[in-house]
Amino acid sequence: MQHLILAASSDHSQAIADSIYRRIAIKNPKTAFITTPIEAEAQIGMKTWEGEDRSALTNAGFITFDYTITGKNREQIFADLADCDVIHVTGGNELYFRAKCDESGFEEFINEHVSKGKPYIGSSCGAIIATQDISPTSMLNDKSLLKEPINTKGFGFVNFSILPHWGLKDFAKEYLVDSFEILYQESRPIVALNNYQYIEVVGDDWQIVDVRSES
Amino acid sequence: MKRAYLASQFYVVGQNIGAQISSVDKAATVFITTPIKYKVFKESELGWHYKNRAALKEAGFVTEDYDITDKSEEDLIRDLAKYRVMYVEGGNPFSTLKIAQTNNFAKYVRGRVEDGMIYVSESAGSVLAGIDVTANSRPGKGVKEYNLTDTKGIGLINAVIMPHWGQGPKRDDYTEYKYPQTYTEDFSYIFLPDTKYIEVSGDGYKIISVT
Repeated sequence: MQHLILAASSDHSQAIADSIYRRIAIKNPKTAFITTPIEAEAQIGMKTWEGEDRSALTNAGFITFDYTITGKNREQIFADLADCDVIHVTGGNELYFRAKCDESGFEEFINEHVSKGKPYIGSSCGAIIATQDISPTSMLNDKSLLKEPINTKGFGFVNFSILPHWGLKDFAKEYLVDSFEILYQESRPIVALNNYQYIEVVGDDWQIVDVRSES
Repeated sequence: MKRAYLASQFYVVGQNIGAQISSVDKAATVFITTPIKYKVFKESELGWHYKNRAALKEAGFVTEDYDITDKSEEDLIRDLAKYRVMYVEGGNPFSTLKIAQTNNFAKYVRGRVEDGMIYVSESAGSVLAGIDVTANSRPGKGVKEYNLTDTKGIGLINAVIMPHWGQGPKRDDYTEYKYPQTYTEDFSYIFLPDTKYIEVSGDGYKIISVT
């Protein structure tokens, strides 16, 4: 039975990471901190947030180690990550991450990991890639490092789109103006999450956790 | 265990919802008409309402109408005790919430749903089932017109439900008012197209697609 944590940001406060740790319910889980989505942003000089993400998780009790799928093949990924309790995919560029998944065979690994009931945590990009289609947030991503054709297919763990960081001024134009046309579709149910919330998926059921109501 | 089926447009998904509920339960369904009582509709404006009634009947629901207007809390407790399913129609969630605040309807529904009554709704009824109604406001039909200072919904789900997502006729309402109004960090928002509904089972949710 799949167990997913899909967060807007796992570093927004320690409360988020602590709450997720309680839901995972594994003492000090060995956690692969997949940094690949931030590589594109780092290459173009954008500020990245993985340090804060990692610190919050570590403080909560996760035993993390950094890992990139860039340059790896299927066999290496299976060998390197097989004994991990938790896979955490951080925020960043989901189109770039999708391309690296296609190059490396990571999707086959993560499907197997999730199908075994082992937890998957996605933060921002990591939450978006868990949906069926990552195109709704593609306007947030720099595309200069990508080769055509660009794959916008997600892992398909949930049947709705996720819009992370909802309500933040930094993304207002992208969400309210640039993306409306692609979002306003009869085929597309959407859950918009602010930085205080995450979705926990257990099997086919999910719930929205707001850490402000937990304290 | 809490059970609710929250639709955007009931007649589109009603057959599927009906299949999830037992005949015994469906045979005792109260149809809450209050959301359509806020104005006098022309007959030509009520096509959706008649389609909902037909869909309920076709799906096996046996309904009796009930309007919570001018009812007391004691009236609700007495009058609604025999029902096993509550269907809340589309219409106006703001006028309905205003009335609901006079007789503790939300508290009553929460208690009954906790005790096993099944909540079924569309549009305004689904907005009411959510955590707050404010973002669904538009000029002429919103929290201001009804002087709502408390905008909390029934709270069967901890998100705001935004129905009719992707529908052409609702596009202007969304672009001008509803979509920008959601862009806050107060709640989570679920944008729900007419071909989907939310199934609430205990603390778990699912989005079900009907094609």
